[in-house]
Amino acid sequence: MTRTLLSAGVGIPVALATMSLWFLVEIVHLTERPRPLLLRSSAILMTAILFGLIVARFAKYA
Amino acid sequence: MNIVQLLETDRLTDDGAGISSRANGILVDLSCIVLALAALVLIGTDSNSPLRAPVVLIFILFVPGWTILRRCGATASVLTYVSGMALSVVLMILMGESLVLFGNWKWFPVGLALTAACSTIGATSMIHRYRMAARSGFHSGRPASNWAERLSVPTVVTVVAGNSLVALGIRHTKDQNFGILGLVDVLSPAYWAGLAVLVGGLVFACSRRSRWAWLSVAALVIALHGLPGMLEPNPRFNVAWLHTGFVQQIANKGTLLRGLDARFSWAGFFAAGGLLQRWSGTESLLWMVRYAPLFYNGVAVVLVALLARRLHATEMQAVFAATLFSCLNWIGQDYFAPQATAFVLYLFLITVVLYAFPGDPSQGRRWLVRLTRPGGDDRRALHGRDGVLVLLGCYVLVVAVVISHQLTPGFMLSAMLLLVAANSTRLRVLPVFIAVVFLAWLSFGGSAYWFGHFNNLTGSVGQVGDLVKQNVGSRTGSQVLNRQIVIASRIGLALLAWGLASLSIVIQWVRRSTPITLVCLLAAPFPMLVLQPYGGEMALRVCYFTLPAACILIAQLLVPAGRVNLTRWIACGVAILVLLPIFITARFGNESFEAFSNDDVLLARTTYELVPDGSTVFVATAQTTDNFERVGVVRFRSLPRGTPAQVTDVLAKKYLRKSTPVFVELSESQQAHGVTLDRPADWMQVLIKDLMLTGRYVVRVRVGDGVLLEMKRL
Repeated sequence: MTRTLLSAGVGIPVALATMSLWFLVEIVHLTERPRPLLLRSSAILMTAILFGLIVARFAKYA
Repeated sequence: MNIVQLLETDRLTDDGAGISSRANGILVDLSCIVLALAALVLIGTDSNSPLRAPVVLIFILFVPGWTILRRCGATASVLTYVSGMALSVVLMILMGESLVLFGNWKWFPVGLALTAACSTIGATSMIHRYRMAARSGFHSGRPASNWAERLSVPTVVTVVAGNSLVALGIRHTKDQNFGILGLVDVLSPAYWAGLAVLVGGLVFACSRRSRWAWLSVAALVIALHGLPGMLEPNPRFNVAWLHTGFVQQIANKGTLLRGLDARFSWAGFFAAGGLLQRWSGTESLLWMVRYAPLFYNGVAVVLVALLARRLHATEMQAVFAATLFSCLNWIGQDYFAPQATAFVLYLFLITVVLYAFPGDPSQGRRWLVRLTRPGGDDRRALHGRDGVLVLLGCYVLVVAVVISHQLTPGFMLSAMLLLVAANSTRLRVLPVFIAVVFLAWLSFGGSAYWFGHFNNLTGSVGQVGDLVKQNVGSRTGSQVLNRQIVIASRIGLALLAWGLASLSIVIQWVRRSTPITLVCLLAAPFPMLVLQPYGGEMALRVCYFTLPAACILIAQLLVPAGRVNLTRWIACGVAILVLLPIFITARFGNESFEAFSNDDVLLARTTYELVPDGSTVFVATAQTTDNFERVGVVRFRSLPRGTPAQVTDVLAKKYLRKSTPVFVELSESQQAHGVTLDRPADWMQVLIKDLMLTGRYVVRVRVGDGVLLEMKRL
């Protein structure tokens, strides 16, 4: 279970989603449009999840 | 501001007349379509034509990016040309890595699809553009510049005369087996005279404020950074040879040898090279190694000039900054390597961010503004669809850099963080994005590198004493006088650049117009120094990444923004003339072992012909042409320490097996490298003699002073 959770199969989709969310946050900031509800919070949450996975991988395999 | 307005303002020249025009843009469009069609035919028919490699190289380096930019409505300008190049390289990196990881290395259909797509899209957007131009009556949109009227005859004459002298000088210079001082010791007086003539032409053009000064800069870059390529009989530098081996491995087998070398975990550059090798139909990319430094420095010089112009430098300050960059870049990280490519992409990202999404540092945090006294910046940012497209390009570029090189994302992150903090850019999220992509790739893409030894990666964080020792101490310990001169010239040039740049900052701070963006770019690389020694090379990288900002700051210090009198230009010219021999000493002071003689190359090729698969070849130092073929099949290792008898014992017991024959290759470049490490001049001949006395070796081939020994089985 832990091995599956920490695998690239989970991590890479999470990383791609996080990257996309941050890209959207930047676009919204640049275009000065009203920020969609929870966009920034979702980006921060996804980042936290991704960093959690990365730290867990480092802890387990280093 | 839209993308057309942005590109209209990227002029390198003060008078608004750019190097290119829309008409030229259509000419480039046409050339790109022809190139794409030619590449399609050459790849599709698997042609043996000698044109195939150059056509595919130019296609890969420019056409895909240019096609996309023109499809998005970009006008022709210097920034568009450089952007086309950067975007093409980024696409190749992403495409190559994707094909290796997910696409079963199907390079052939991808090559056909890409060339066909470029020719089709290029043709449709050119027809569209032509119709639009016809509708609006073929306005050029810009006053045509009459080059013939403004031709600076003295500059052109000095460039022709200077280049002729340089060529003559190179012809009369010894071309291999250099001494410890490297090239500075052997160059013919005609070469130096040629450089002096080029600098004279530059001074003349600058004093007249003529745009022809760029021609002198280009000639100087070719004379300085094309020097080893034009002089030496073989491509230089062992790591560049090694990289062609990595590219060949991917090109031929489509797999990454992650267990063999950490660089295969950041293989974007090599995968792109693999595509180039297959599409160009060559056995190896060794043909690119010779002039790679010239290409990288040429692009970097253009980017330094664009950056300088964006940061309010006058045209002549930009010329001087570009000249300084070519005369101060002694660091030697511009060979065929991921680092050189990533550095150019880093510089390009910074330039685009500052052009497209500028902020106003004088409107930043009040305490910071009070402390730093920045000058204002009223440039408008890109908005709407164009802004989103450019931003997308920047984000894609970050991904390409992260998968190609371990260190550059760190420099990129540091620079972007400082630019955001100083309000030099309107972007806010890019540093977070860089950090996310870097950590994600390190964790999931580069796991083979750190699995089981993460401490090696992070153990030196903050250990400043050890880091200084590895970065500086181990590189400056030679007792040989000539070697000390080379090292002193390197340290001297680095300190000179940083010192003058700091002085420029202080003076501008006193004048209440601190170039805060340049300060950020100058300071950004230094935190990397305390994070990782990177095999003792981090100080070199820091020097490399600070150089563009340092050169612009020095140009602002030495060349006033207003009219500059002839005396000052002559003083600047004299300063460059003084700098040149120091630069040649620092930059080409390793040529005794980084250049390869014909004997070295013959020995290496013979070694590959003689050693069977699975062999282990031992070398005395890494300064040799190894691993440029059959990577992972023939293993190269360093000879263990000890007396010849002890070494032989270790090789016999630990490495010699029925399926793994053991060889020892000792070449002239290794001999020269040993001498710079304070060994006696005949150390290698003594070693060969002692090894033969053990009775365990047989000489397989001897070329010049080099030798290939095979260990006998008992």
